[in-house]
Amino acid sequence: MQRKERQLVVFTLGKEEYGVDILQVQEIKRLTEITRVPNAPPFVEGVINLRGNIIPVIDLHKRFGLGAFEPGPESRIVIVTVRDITLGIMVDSVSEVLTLEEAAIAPPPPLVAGIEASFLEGIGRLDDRLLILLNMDRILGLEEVAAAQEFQNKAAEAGAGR
Amino acid sequence: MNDSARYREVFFAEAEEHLQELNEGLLTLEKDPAAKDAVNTVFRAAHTIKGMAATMGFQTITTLTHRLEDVLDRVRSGTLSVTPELSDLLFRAVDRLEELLGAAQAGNEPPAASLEDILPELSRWAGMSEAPKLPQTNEASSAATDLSAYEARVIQEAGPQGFQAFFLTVYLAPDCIMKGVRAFLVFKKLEGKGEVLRAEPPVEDLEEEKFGTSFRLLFLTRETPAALEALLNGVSDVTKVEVRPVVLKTPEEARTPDVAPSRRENREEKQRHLSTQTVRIDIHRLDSLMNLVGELVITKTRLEQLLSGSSPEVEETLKALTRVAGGLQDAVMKARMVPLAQVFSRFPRMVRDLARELGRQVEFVIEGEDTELDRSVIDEIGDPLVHLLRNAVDHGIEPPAERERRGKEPTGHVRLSACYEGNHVLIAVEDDGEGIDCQAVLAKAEERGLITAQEAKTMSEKEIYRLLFLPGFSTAARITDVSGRGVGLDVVQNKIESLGGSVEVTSRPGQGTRFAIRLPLTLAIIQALLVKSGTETYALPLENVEEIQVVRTADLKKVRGRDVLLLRGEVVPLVNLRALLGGETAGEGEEEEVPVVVIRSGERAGLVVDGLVGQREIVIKSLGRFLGNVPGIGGATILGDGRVVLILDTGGVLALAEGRMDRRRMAS
Repeated sequence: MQRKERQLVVFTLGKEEYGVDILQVQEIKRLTEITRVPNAPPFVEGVINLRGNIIPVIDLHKRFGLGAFEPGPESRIVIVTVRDITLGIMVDSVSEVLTLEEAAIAPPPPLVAGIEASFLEGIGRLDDRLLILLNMDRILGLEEVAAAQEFQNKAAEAGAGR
Repeated sequence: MNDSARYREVFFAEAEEHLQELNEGLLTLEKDPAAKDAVNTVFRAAHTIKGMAATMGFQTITTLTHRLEDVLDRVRSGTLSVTPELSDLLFRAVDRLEELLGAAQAGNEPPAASLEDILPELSRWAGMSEAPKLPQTNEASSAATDLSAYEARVIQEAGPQGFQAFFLTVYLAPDCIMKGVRAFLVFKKLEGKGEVLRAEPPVEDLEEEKFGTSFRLLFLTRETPAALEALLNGVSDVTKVEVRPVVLKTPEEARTPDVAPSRRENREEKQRHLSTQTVRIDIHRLDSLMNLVGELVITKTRLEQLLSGSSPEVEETLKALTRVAGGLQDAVMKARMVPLAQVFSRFPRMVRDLARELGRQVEFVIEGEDTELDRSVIDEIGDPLVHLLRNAVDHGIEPPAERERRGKEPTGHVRLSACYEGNHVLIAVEDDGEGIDCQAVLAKAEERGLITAQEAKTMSEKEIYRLLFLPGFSTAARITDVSGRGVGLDVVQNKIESLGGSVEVTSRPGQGTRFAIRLPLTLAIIQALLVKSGTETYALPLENVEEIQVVRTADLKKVRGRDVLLLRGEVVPLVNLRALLGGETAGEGEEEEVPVVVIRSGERAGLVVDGLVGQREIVIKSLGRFLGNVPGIGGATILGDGRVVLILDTGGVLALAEGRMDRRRMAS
C-alpha cells in the first residue's frame, strides 16, 4: 500500500514552527534590501529584486497580527509560487525540510497561536513537535486577486465590445 | 509553417493593403471624379487582388474583383463617370470584398452565388448583359510559366507526335570572332531537326552580333538531348551547350502559388520592393529582442558601477560598450516604430460613412500621418481615436441647417493631426462644431450626483471638462448607436493612461472642441529623474517633468489653505511627495530651500521633494499581478546597484493628492 506523504519546508515565526509544501517553495534567500511600496496593503513589506524580477515580499507577523518583524541573523525570505504568482515571505528562521505522513495531519482547531483558522490547512504532529501548516492561498488573499483579475478581464472585454 | 500557409498569409496581408488603396482611391474619386491617379490606383488594386485571388484559387473573390475591374476599366477609359450612385456601389463592392477576404481567411469562402445581390449591378455598370462572361483564358496558368500562350499551345499540340521542347543555351568562347556567323551555323545545324520557336535575343540581334557570349533557343524536336548537345558541340567556338527540357505545367500546378500571379505584376512588385525593402516580423520576436536589450542595459549599468575607477582601458571599453548598447537599443526601438498612417488610414472612410448616416457634411483632414510610434502603442490607439472622431462628428459638428443658422458654412471640419513634441507624440482631434456647454455638463454632473450644487458654483472650466472623463458620464441628450451609451471618455482616458499618456480637452462654445492626446514615443525604456523622498528614492518619468526649481521655503504661498508656487505669474499647486507617500524623514530639520519638480500630466503641479539624485535611463518593470494597481505607482525599475526603485505615475500622484481617486470610486 502506498503511503501518502508530504514534504514540508519548516520555518519559525516567533516561537511557533510552521510548514509550507515544498512544491510551492522556489528558494530561500537571505534578507536583502526591501523597497517599501506606499499605499500597498499593510502586510506587504515591499518589493525585492530577484534576478531582475520584481517580487513582492509579505510580512507574516503583520498578516497574523503577531507584532512587528524583527530582522535577525537567522532571518530569511522564503520565495514561494502560488497560483503562478511568485512572492517572498519573511520568516525568523528556516530550520529544515521534513516528511510528514498525511495521517499525521489533523484539521486546524479554531484558533492556533492567535492565528485565524482559515489561514491554516492543518496541524501536523511529528513525535512531540507541532507544525502549523499554512494555507498560502488564503493568507495571500489570492482567491481575491484571482477574482479581481477575472473581473478586470471581463471589464476589459466589455470595454472592447463598445 | 509550410509554403502554402505562408503564401496564404502573404496573400491576405497584401490583399488588405490593396483594400486600403481601394478605399482611399474611391474616397478621392468621390471628391474629385476626374482624379486620374486615383482611378489608376483603384484599378490596379482591384486587378492585383483579382490576379492573386485567382492564383490562390479563391473563386468568389476572383469573380467579384473581375467585375469590379470591368467597371473601373470603363471609368478609366472615360466612358463612365463617377456619380454618387456609382461611388456608393463601388464602396459596397469593396465592403463585400473585405467580407469575402475575411471569410476566406477563416477558411470558408462563400460560393460565387452569394454575389447575386451585387454582381448584376456591377455588370450593368460594366455595360454587359446579365449573362456572365465565360472566364477568360486562364491568365494565371499561361502567364505563370516562361512560355507565351502561343508557344505553350504549339508545344502541347506537338506532344502526341513525339515532339519535345527544349531550352538550348549555347555558350561561345569569349574570344570568338564573328559570333553572328557561329549563331547562324547553330541555326543551320538545327534546321531540319525541328523548329526554333523562339530565340533570345531575337534572330535579328543574333545576326548583328548584338549579344554576349551566349544565347538561348526554344526548340521543338524529336531528337534526344544528348544528340542535340553532340550536334551543336560540333560547331567551332561553341564551348558549352545546355539542354533543358520544357515541362508544361498542368492547370493544377499553375495554380500553386510558387509563381507570382503574372509576370507583369511580378515586375511591378520588384520595382516597388526596390524602393522599400521590408520584412514582416512577428511582433513577439521584436518584444523578446526588446526584453534582451533591456537586460543588457541593466547589466551594462551594473558593470559600470562595479568597474568605475578602474584602469583607463576598462573605462574605454565600457564607453564602447555603452555606445554599442545604446545603438542597439535605438535600432530595436526604431524597428518597433510604425507610422500612424497604419491607424489613420481607415478613418476617412469611417468619417464619411458616419457623416452620411448622421446627415452631417464633414470635411475630414489628416495631418502628420508619417509620425511614428511604438508598435504596441499603435495597436492600442485605434479605439480611443475612433471614439473621439465619432464624438466629433456626432456631438461636435452640427447638422448643416443648424450651422447655417449660426452663420457658419454648412460643411463642418474635423482635423486629425499628429506631431512630435519632444520625447512624445501629440495627437489631436479637432472639430469646428458647437463646443462643450459647461452649464450642461455641470447640470448633468449634478443630476448624476457626481458633484454638489455648491461645488458646481466654484468649478473652473478645466475642472468642468475633467468631469467628462468620469465613468458613466455622457453629455449627449440623445443616445445614438454611434457614440455609444454612456461608456464614454473615461474608457478613452483609461486606455491612454495605461499607455503612459494623457488626454486634455479645450473647447470654445460655438466654435469647436479639441482633444489632445500625448503619448510617449517608446515604452519599456525611459529617461527618468530620480528624486529623494525622505530616505527613499523614486523615479519620475522625465517626459512628465517640465522643469525643476529650487524654491526658498519662505517664498511658498498658501492659497485657500493649499500650498502653491508662483511660477512666472502662474499659480502652480504644490504636492509634498513625502507627505503623500509616507516614509521616514531623512532626519534634518526645516530646510531653507526645497527642490520643486514641476510635473505635468493633464495639468501642472509642483512636487516638493527632499532631494534630486539625477537623470537615469531606466527599464520599466511591472509590480506584478499580486500587487496589481497601486495608486500613484506606475511600476518599478532596478538600478545599476541592484536596488529596486519605484516609478511614480504622475497622473496617479496628482489624483492621490486631489483625492480624485475617491471621487472616481464614488462615481463608479
